[in-house]
Amino acid sequence: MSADDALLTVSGLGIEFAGVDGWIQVVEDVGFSIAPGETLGLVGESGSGKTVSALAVMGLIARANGRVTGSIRFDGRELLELADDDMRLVRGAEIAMIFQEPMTSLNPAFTVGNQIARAVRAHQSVSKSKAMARAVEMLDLVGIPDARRRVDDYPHAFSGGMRQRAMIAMALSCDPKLLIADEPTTALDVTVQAQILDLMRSIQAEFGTAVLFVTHDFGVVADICERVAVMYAGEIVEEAPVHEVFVRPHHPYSEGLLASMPQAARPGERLTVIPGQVPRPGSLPDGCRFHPRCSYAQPECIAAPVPLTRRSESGSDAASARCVRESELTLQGAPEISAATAPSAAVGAASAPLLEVRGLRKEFPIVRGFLRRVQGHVHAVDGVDFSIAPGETLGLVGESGSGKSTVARLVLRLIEASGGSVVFAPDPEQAGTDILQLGGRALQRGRREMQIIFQDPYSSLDPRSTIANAVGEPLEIHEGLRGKERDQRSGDLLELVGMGRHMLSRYPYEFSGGQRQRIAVARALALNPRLLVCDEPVSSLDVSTQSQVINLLADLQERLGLAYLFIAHDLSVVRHISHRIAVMYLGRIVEIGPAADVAHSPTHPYTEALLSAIPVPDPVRQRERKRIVLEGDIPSPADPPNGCRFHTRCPYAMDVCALEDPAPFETPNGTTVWCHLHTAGPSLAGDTVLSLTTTASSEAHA
Amino acid sequence: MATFILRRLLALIPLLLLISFVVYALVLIVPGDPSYTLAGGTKADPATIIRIRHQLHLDESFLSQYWRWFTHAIQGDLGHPLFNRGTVAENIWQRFPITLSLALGAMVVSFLIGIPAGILSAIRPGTWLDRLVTLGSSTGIAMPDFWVAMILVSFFAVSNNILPSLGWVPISESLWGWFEHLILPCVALGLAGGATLARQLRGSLIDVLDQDYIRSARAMGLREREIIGKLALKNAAAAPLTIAGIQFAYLLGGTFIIENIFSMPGLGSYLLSATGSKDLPVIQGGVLVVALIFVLVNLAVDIGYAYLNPKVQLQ
Amino acid sequence: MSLSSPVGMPTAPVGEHDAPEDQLISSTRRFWSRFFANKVAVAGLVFIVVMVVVAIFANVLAPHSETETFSRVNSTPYGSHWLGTDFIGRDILSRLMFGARASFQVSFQVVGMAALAAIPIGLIAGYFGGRVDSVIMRIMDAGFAFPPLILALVVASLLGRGSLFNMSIALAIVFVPGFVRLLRGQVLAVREETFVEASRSLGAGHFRMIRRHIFPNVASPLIVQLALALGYALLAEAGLSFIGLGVQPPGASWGGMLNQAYGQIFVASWPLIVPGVAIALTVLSFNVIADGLRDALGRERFKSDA
Repeated sequence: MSADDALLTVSGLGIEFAGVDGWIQVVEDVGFSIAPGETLGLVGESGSGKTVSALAVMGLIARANGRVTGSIRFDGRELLELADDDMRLVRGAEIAMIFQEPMTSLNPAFTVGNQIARAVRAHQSVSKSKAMARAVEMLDLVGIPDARRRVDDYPHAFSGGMRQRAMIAMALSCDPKLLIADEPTTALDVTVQAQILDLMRSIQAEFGTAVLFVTHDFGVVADICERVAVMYAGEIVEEAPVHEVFVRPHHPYSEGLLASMPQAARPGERLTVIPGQVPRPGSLPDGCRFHPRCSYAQPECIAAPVPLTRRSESGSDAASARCVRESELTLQGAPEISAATAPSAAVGAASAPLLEVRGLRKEFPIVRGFLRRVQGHVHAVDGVDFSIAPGETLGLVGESGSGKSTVARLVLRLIEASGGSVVFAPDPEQAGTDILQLGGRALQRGRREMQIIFQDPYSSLDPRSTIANAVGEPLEIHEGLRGKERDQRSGDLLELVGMGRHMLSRYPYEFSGGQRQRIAVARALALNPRLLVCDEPVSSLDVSTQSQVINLLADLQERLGLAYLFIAHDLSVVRHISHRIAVMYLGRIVEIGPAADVAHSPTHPYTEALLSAIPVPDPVRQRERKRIVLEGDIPSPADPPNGCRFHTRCPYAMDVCALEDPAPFETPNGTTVWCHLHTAGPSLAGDTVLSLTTTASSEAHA
Repeated sequence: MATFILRRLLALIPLLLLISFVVYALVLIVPGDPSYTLAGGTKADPATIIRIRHQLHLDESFLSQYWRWFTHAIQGDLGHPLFNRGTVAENIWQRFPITLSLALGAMVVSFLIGIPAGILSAIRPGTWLDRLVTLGSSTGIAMPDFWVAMILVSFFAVSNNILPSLGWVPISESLWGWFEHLILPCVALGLAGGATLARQLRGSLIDVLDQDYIRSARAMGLREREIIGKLALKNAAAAPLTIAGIQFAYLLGGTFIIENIFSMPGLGSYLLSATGSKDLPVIQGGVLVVALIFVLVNLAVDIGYAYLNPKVQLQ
Repeated sequence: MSLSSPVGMPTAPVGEHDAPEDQLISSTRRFWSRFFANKVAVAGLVFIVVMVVVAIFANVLAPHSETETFSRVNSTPYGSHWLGTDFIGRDILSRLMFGARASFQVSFQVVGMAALAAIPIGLIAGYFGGRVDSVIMRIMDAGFAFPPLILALVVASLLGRGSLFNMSIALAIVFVPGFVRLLRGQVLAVREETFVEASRSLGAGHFRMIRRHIFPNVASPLIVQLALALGYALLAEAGLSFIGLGVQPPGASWGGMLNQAYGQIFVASWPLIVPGVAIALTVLSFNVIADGLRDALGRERFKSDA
């Protein structure tokens, strides 16, 4: 497209921030353009400069410590030349922005309506009551039920998904021509993400708003974007229409990102990884910035900075890449989504279970009101059964509020259960012991062979302990090892997870997220556990780092015969690594069975919806496939629905679902499902299982 | 909100019991035989010792002494001074307006200094103005208030005779006289508070201006004046409000040196002279009243905090 | 850098890439280099060290004795009297040097005793929580309800007015609730950190947890608070000396010197200036040291819940 048709044209954008020793360039020579009504995806890992570029368009880089150069033309004006006050008039009215963290993006001290009304009144001279009416109208438009009443609520009374809706309502309240969305769904559950993406799509259709969609997730890109610009280390490395990038990327980094998505890998095989990590601004490699991590790198890549070369100039087909070998390489697009079976479901199935959980419950009392009496209970975990065989991986999937992390803590007895049993049998020759019945020393011994790694690698290592102290702690506690002996073993453990023993004397702050997660694994392995509970171990890592850690876990399982209880919200990760999968909803397991069956032919409507909500990294299929978008939020575990807990959001709900708890039903291929569709009425059962299975699997395979 | 306030009020009951107990337990730290020590130690004459022992019921068990004192105290009877006439409650009541005027005046001074200084330095961190405020507030905190008072007296009253150096005029007699006599002591008392407030407000405003929700407001094109004056200030007010509440309560109990310097017959100087003569009923009564006010001020702060941060009310 | 290397292979040196900027500083070397980069804090530290040395060796360093009188009274500096003389002709510089003893003795005693009492209480309240915590914190709330200076005045007076140690005890009592509340808040925050849960899952007991993980992580805000408290204690000491507690005449204390100078306010203002400036500079030094420590120890990661 020629620059004149474009709504926004960014060219030669450079951004520098004040560092300790002068200015540090974080974005260099970035250019892209967006036509009216178009959606451009700006994709990259953390540290790529994508968010900063978006903020620069908004004029939100503080002049005190940031410098923006180049050109940002919007609707016929050069934004970088506008005076502060004129730029303020553009913000909100013509370009609006929504952010990643809906929980912190709204002001906690003002009602939602007040905040939207302020935004309206910043640009339109209307009365307070008119502005408030506009707020109600906007909240209604973005699907907040009962908007007239909710407009007077404070943000803390809104769920995460509702807050993001409210942010969208605020952003659109002045009819902007361009909406910048900075990872708007990253902090949300996948079913809520599907809702928000749907909302954005319908709004775009209705108002013709152009969108700059900043994200790290190629699945979301496939879902919503028309064109893509991939950023790496402060530069755009490739820009092209979305189909082209997915079918035939022209930069090795794009290829690597697409290949390292867990959706892309065959279960049981290792994930593709991009070696290394994104370089820091200020210490960028010479030549092509990607060359140290690039498998196609040649001497010429190091020689000089690589310019962006255009393949096609015309309008929405504009395509360019920043690679010297572009013309000679034929790069792979997103791999076929594999429908192949998961790793052999038979692992250890015959032997006695290593861990047997029965009727596990956890209730947290709710104290409320004047006298602080217990007014009820949050049923965080409500009667959960499962078992894990030696060497097996059980994936436990659920959205926030499902109680999956509580299960992890209950199994290790980091919190006390309200009921049930957790029988752990590390020695197949002997009967297991119920962890929940142990006390004192016996508990400490019992827990030895069961370890956990946590989600947040930044807070799971004590910032004041050296790596030697961190990894050596279990050895000190249980084996009384000290000094050299301890460090010898700790060093061995570090090497086991692919790190050097010279790192023992360092502190956690010297390591990246992925490296810290390796250290946490090393520490968990110190006592030769038989079972490792992994509580969202990769969800705070970048795509390429995530696959490195998953591969490590798979390797360790193979070498050491470990069993995993692998907890995650991301079904695509779980599907890749698990032998069996259990799906949790509101404190209960709704479906448990072999990974291939659960992931490809779900028998519970919730599983089906979860699978359907995960965007497929293929723009054609993602847009064609029929999706089930669940309505509303997960109900509060303090007041769960009667009967089947899913019935309030279930597209197939029947009368019986609200009345009776469903009984377990075992399907022919070994999946156990708790759903009335399978049991209520002989005429329904067979049909529904079949139809559910076929529709859902054809979805997933389609 | 009503339940919130009611709950806080109820929570005060055990606290006040504990406080009254601590106050009465002051008698326990008097070394030796209290009646002997309180009567003047080696200078004590036997008649006074007997009178004091009787007046304070020192021959009874500690708990029954406490209970007697407590049941009287909640009816407003704080007993009689050991060495003067009248009742403790009357004396405190007479002197209280002076101390209250001082504390309120000092608070006004603190706000007048602290709020503008805090805002100005927070919106332009790192500039010379910010550095000036930071340096000024550090110095303000470091100077003893009674020294500032004496310097002010030396300059305004002794060298230049602009303002009166001593005494107190009730507001009922002369509004100007009352005001005039309050200026120097209030400035001396309020300076450190203003410095603390400026520091605190600067810190929390800078934190708030860094929050996501402020970025959202900017992204919607709100005016900086509205963002700082209406939004951020409300978000940032909680911590300085707490500090200000505590300061006010401290002031009510911390004016005795200033009252002494300016010869003001307030609660502070009354307590000070009572500590000199070890007049236990006065000490206990005075400390109890001051602690009571402190607790009530804190309650008011809590309620203000709940207004600023609606989430608190739920907890 | 080398995250991708296959399992078991040693890897290249780590980078600092992802380290968040507010990470706590972990080596003493880095701590001191950051602290010494802060010129103001270093100046404060130098001033305090000099003052402490002067206080300790006052009998050697002071040009005159504490009590010797000279003919000129209420004088501005002259001759060997670099800071002039007071209302009965004593050398102000010498009295300032001897007076520093009382100030520093009291402030270090107060902060030391208060910290000794508050550290275990705060750690226990924050770490164990529940009923222990409620009881401790209700008692601390009661302690908080008394304006500090008046409580110290009352306690010190009842214990006996003439003793510096009594004054220290009285002030230490006043400082305890503040320390406990700060420490407890920090402990509560650290207790929620995943690394504490991780240690527990590895089998660490309470004692080990507190000693190895909790205390080191709450130490920095505590150290900053202690430095600030030294300044406040010194201010309080000056106030109480001013109204006649602590060092009795003819002994020298900064507060006492101010009191005597105030008696001469219609005659001379010079003797009023010097001790006040000494107090303000010393307190300011403690405060800038505290600021320097705060910066050098890293932005306080764990905010108190108070």
